[in-house]
Amino acid sequence: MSLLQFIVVLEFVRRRKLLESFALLWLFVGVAGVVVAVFRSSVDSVARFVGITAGANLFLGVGLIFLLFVCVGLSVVVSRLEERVEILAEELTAVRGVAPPISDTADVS
Amino acid sequence: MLVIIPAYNEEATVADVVRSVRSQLDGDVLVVDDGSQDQTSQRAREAGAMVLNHPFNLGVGAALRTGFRFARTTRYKAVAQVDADGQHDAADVSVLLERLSSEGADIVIGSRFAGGYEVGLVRRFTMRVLSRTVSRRLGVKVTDTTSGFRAFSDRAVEVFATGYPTAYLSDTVEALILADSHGLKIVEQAVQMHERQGGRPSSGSFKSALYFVRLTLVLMLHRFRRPRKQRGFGHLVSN
Repeated sequence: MSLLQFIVVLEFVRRRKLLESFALLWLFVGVAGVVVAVFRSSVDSVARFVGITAGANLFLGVGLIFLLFVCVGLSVVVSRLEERVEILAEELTAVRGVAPPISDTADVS
Repeated sequence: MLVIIPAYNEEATVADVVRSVRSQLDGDVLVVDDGSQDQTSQRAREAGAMVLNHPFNLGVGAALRTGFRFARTTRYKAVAQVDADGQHDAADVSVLLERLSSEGADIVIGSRFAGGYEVGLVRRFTMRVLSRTVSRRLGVKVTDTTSGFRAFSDRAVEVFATGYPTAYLSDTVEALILADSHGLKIVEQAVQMHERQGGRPSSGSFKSALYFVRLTLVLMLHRFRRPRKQRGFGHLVSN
């Protein structure tokens, strides 16, 4: 699974659908996944060390918290982008300038 | 004197509004077309208004900010805001502007409720809560916090040209708080309201509820928040 994810991320970067800075994050997650998969017993021992009986629970718990943080981070990024789009759109409106009234013949008569 | 009319897909009514404002007042009319897909912009120009066009829909708040920025660069002494759907009576604009000068106010809010305007139960409750909260914050009694019928002094225009809040539906309330924090004087004026002559109401009940929750958050956080950074407007623009 982790290997597959690793490859998918690389492919996205190659197709320029993903910025390198975000790719780095997900590649790192992929590597971590591979490491965990290879040394499965290590998860169990770490779990026991922090006081959790099952290694899977530790894995899921940490994963959940990690994903939550990523989501919040993305929301922040989206907020900033939205504000920038707004500013640009308003600047564009101003640059285009005001469209004058079309002379209204009914007004003249 | 400038009358700003923010409009989004209001081709059915915008021309009438522009004409009635122009017949009542001696001033310029600016329609900010907020990315309409219909003939709003065309109709407004035919009726004798200047028009600024947003490239796509940005919301009423952004449309107003565009209008304020125009008013600032063109140095209007007073600005009025009127809805494009024909709810407001153009004859009342001069009443609002009158109070602007007679009391040295910076913002005059045209209030629906004093004119005997009926709304649904939920809406009424929401508005009452808002009214109470905002009135307490401002130290002035405001019954209609979300009114889109207002007049502004040049000082208010200066503040709003860069900082007018644009979030969906909450722009009016936040604007009042912003104005208050800049020491602007706010008063309220009773006005008549008509039924909208066309187009649709801008919000469903779910969205309104969401808006109310968001607004509560804004009101709570307001005191602790860092001021918004001055936005990068103006250096490009010379209209």
